[in-house]
Formats: sequence, structure tokens, C-alpha cells
Amino acid sequence: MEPILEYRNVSKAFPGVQALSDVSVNFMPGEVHALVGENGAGKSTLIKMLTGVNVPDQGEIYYNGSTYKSFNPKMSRKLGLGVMYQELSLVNELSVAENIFLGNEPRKNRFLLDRKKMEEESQRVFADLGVNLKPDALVGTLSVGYQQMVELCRAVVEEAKVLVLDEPTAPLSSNEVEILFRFIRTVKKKGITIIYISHRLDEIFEITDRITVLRDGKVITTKNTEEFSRDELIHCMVGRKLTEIYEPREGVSGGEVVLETRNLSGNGVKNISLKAYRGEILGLGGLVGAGRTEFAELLYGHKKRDSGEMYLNGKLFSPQNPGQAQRAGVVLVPEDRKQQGLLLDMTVKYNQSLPIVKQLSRYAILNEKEETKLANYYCDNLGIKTPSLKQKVKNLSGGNQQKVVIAKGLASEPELIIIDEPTRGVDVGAKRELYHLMNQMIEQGKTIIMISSDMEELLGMSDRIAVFCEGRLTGTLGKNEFDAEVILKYASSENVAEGETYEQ
Amino acid sequence: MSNEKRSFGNLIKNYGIVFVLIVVILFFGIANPSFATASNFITILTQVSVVCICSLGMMFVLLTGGIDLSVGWIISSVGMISAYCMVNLQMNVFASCLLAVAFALLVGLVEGLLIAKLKIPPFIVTMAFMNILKGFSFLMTSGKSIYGIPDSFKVIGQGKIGEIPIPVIIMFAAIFITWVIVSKTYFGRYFYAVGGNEQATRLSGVNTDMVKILTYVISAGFACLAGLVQMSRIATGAPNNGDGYEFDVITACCLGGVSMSGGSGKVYQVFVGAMIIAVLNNGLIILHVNTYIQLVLKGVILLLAVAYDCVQKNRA
Repeated sequence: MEPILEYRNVSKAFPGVQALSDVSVNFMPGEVHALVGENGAGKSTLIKMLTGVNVPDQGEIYYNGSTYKSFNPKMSRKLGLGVMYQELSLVNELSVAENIFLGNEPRKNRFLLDRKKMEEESQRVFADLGVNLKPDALVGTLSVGYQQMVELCRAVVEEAKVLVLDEPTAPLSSNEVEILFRFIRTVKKKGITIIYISHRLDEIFEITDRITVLRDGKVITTKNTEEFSRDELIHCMVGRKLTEIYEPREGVSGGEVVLETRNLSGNGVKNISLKAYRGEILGLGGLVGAGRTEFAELLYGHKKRDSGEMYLNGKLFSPQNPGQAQRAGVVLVPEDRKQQGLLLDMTVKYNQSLPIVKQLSRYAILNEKEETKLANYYCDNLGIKTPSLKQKVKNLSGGNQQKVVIAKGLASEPELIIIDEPTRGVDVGAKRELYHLMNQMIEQGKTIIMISSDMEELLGMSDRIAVFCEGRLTGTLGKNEFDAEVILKYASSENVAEGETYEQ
Repeated sequence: MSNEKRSFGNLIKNYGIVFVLIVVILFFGIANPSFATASNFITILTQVSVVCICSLGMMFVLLTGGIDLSVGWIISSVGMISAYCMVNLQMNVFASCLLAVAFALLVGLVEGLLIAKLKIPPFIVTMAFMNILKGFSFLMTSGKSIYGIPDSFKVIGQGKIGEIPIPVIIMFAAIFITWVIVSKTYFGRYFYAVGGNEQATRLSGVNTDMVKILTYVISAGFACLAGLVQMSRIATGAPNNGDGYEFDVITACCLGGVSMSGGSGKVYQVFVGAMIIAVLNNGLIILHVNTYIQLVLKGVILLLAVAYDCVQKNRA
């Protein structure tokens, strides 16, 4: 059988990163093919080529009888390449049928919509695919699972030959996952190829026919699903030695408790009890959406907790807003530096001093000399490379932007720093510098809670690791127990039991 | 660019609006000799004072990405309240003014609370208040104007120190205070920060709700000052004193270069923007241009100013 879609020796570089190197992989008609790998392995880069978001530097993509150097969104839709991202592109105010035929409506004549035909057509498609949807229901009133189904049906109506599902089950309940899987099995029989991206190994073993493992922009292997064992797959995904970018550091877990949470719930996390010790990096591991960021938002007073307590240095700690948390000595370096961390149109100095301008003022008048001095201090100390303090932050590289966010955090001289994804979108050189900085903070007696979806980073930097899954704490590992496979096991849902938490 | 050259092109780019003002002044100066006289300039400055004072308050709101449509009718209602107290109730002038100020600040506070805490769009909240205050201004005296304002109060709008009218002095004092707040105090930073990226600002430990509430209180406060000056200048409490001022005020800010999407704007820009409108008003009257044509011109100018701002944004 001929493959329907094939990447041939595709390479792609971004500034500072070789995102894909010489990737060749093929997809057969009617197969469900999983793409797995850690964050940054190159899965999204590969997929985004199908809609023209990324253009290959080298190599070509074969699809349905022709070879292409690049695509664009309109073209791929026309060719039958359907890519479903995690954010759905539906109009909530329109009905299911209207959404399915959006931009492609059947008409009675030049102007009038043929609503009847539209609904009949939809009904026919639903019956054909075994989907239980009402054509006249408003999309906004459906659950996420059914909304996703509407989007999938739209792709089928548009005669997609390849469907890419990027983490489709992340927002779904287990019932909805079953419905999705039934759908996948049905369309598969129609010869449609499904490219399935997921971190959830259970699902991959249940639904896919073949698996391709990507790591560091390279294809490690492609095999039939039944030829993989679970452990072998994890080994392929992670399997490398931690390189020398992680400096050895004496962790001092087990001393004085800086932060403690007791049965903390709210903002999507349930019943979290854990401790952070002075002078340690506590890594929070788990899948994207496991509740780690949500937990951090509670600690920082950004979101309200429902129940449970927090203690900072043994004293009850209940920040109502980030300002209070900051004054108590807790700061958050947020995950998304552009949306949450920085004022992109403002200068380096302006950004750095924002959290402490009040402390730099006397009778409300800002002491600009002091401000400049401090900004210079942090630029030197953190190695922020900028032509001047008056440079707008948006003109800095990702690594330097990240350092500015960290400088902002350090400016208020916190005891506990929560860093959410410290090195996302940062090149290797800057990564090493950021790790060095974190080690320096530890040497100064600060405590770090680090949220990371990068397994290597989590293992390399943490002194202890707490693993989250579906809003719960499923396990805590001491340094001598570190093991990527154990962490992945804790991070996958099978270990979540109602009301169960572990602490050491 | 950190080391931008001080070329003429950059000067135009950064201070373009100042050149526009100069061009407009030159145009009217050449078109009519009675325009470019010292006494006419003092007249223009007096005329601009109400709009300019009010625009300074509006600037705070715009910096945080909001808008305040209620300022025109704050000017009216404040004039009516103070006139009513002074004339109908025979209250002390100072106490009357104080009452008017308290009223305006309360209005600003309620607006701010609705916007920041209930997250109602600023456009809706302030438009609702525009109508509430309009109705209130007319209800006070069933739409009748109040005459017989005490002389001690007329000084604010009609008095002079040397050759300089007091409204002009009040305006420059307000400009100075605003400049100190936005560029010298620490909380001045917060207005720009909230407009630049509200979420990042909140995560930096700033109470962003408080900042937003404060801007509406400040805007109402400046509108109140403008309203008192206005009422004193014409020595009449008329319910429609401030009708349409919100338009001139927003135009002045926009024209000067205060971004409608928040995050940028300078005090001098507000003054220059207000001056352009005042010079146009004055010059067109001197040239005997029809009032309705003036309205059309003002609308076109507002569009041009905003279009320029948008084009600049898209290029960046």
C-alpha cells in the first residue's frame, strides 16, 4: 500500500534550536499513527508544517500523489488535511449544522440558504459516523467533547483524508474519551488516516496502530504499537543521559520547612499536602494540565482556594492577591512570559522595577537613581544581554526576556520562588545560564518550587519531585528515587485514587 | 532602537503633533492678521482651559485602556450642584464647591467599582452615567438655568493675576500636577503598566483593580475642576453647560497621541491635542466658518488622529 502522507528528510531550524533534523516518517491510509515525545521533541513543529505555520528548511512532504515544499492553511483544507488544535474553532452562537457547513453552505439559489438540506446532510453524516448529535442544537450549549465531535464531523464533511488530533483527550471526561475513540474507529474504516498526538500512554496503546517516537527533533523509531512494551516506549522517549548542563549541587532537603500546604483545594487542584524545605528545589512533575500551575496560582494568591491551609515559615499564610504574597516573601515567575510576565512595550528597567517601585520611593516620588542602580545590578548579575536599560523588552531574545522576568521576581527579595517552566522556548546556552542562576539562588538560601514538563530538567535540577495528576498529588520522590519511568507512571491517571495523597 | 539619531525625521515622528499645532497656528496667522495677537492667544488659552483640565483626567483612564464618556455631564452636574447651593440654598461658596467635589468623586468611585469589580465594560458604565447625570442636571431645576452667582466665585473663571486669567493658571497647575503624578511618582508607573499588560501587572504584585478604580476617580475629579471653572466663567448654572465636552476631551487626547488601547501617552501631548482643537475653534470663528462645518472638521480630525495611531501600532 502507498502511504498517503510522507515526510521526506525534513529539517527545520529556529534561532538557537534545531527543531527537526532529517525527519522521515510515513502515514498509511486508514491507520491511527501516534506521534510521541517529550515537550520540545518536535511534534508540533512537524504538524504545523501541514498548515503552513512552519515551512521546512530542507526536505519535502509527499501527500496523495504529489510532493510539496510547503503548505498554506487554505490549501491544506482544500487538499483534505484536517488539523485539530486544542482550541476549537467553532462559533458558539450557531447551530451544529451551521457550524459544519460554515463557509460552505448549501443554497437554494444565489442568496437563500437551504437550511433543510443542511440539516438533512448533517443528520446523514451523523448517522453514518454513529455520532449522537442534533443538527439544530446550539454549539455553545454542548459539552467540550461534543463540540470536538462537531469539529471532527466538519472535517469529514470537507472530505479530509488525514486528521491530526493534538492532545484531543486533554479536556475530555472518560465517557467522552470513549465516544471519541468510537468515532476514530469508524472513520478509520473509511480509509481516513489519524495522526494522534498524546502524552497519555494508555490511550496510545488502546487506539493506535503504529507509533513514531521523536526526541530532540529526530525520529528515534517507528514501530507497530503491539511491538512496543510500555517500558520500552518510555525508554525511547526519555532515554538519554543527563548532560553536563546540570551542575552538581548539594541539596539540603529535610531541614527547615519554608512552605507547607495542608489539604489545599480549589482552582482545579484537590487535597494537596506537601512541604518545601529551605534551600531545595522542589520539582513539580506531571502532564500539562495536571494542576501544577493551578497549585502555584493558589500559593501566589492569584486564585482563591476553596479549602485547606498554607503555612509560610510555620505561620498561617493566606494571600488574597499577588501583592500580599510578594510582601510575605513568595514570588511567581509565570509560565507565559509574554502574556503574564512582561510589559513588552516597556523598557528593561521599567519591567524590572515594577514590583518594587513603591519601596524605591520616598513621599511617593520614585528615586530613579536607585532604580537605575538596581536595574544595572540585576543586568550584571543575571547576565541580561541588552544594549541599554532603555531597550524595549520585546526586542530581547527569549532567554534574556526570561531573565528579566526572573529579575522582576528577585527584586522583591523573596524567600520562596515559584518558577513555572523556567526554560520554555529558550535555547540551550540560555538554559544553562538559567540553571546556573537557580543554583545561585539556592546557595543564597532561597527555596525554589519549579514546575517543569521537561523530564530532563525535572530530574537534573530538582532535589525532590512531587508528581501531579488530574489535580491531585500522586507521589513524591526523594533524590535517590528519581526515575523517569516512575514519574511517568505517577503522572498517568491509573494511579489516581479518590482522596488519596502521598507525602514521602 | 537605543541609539536613535536625532534626525529631522525622528523629530517629526516623535513630536509630529507639535508640528501640526505650529502649522495650524501659522495657517490662521497668515489667513487673518487678528488671529496672531497676544490677546487672542490669551483668549485661546482661556478657552482651552476647561477641555484641557478635563483631558488630563481622561488621560489616566485612557492609559489603563478604559474610557470615560461621563465627563461632559459631570461638568454640567457639578456646575448645577454648586450653583444651586450658592444661589438657591445661599450656602457658603467654599462649602458649595466642596459638595460638588464630593459628588464628582463619588460618581467616579461608583463607576470605577462597577468597572473593576463587576467587570462591566467602561464604555457601558460611563455611558449610563452620562445619561444619569444628564437627567439629574435637568431635574435639579426642571431645566432652568441658575443666575446670580456670587462675585467671590466668579473670580475662578473670570479673574486675572496680572495679565493672566485664573483659568489658565489653574490649567498649568493641573498640567504640572499631572506631570508629577505620571512621571515622578511610583504609582504613575502603574497606570501605564495596567494599560500595557494588566495580567502581568497584577502578577507583579500591583493591585490592578485599585489602579483602575483610581483612574475614574481622578477623571471625575479633573472633570469637576473643569466644571467649576466653566460655571464660573459664564457665571450661570446651566444644565447643558458640559454637553458634548466628552467628545472634545477624547479628541484632544487622541489627537495628542494618547493611545486608545492603553499603555502610552504623555502630558504634553494632551495639552497640544487640546490646543489644536482650541486653535481650530478660534481660528474658524475668526474666519467666519459655519459652525456645522466646524463639527464636520472636528470629526474628520478625530478619525485622522486615531488612524495615525493605528497605523503606527500595526507597523511596530
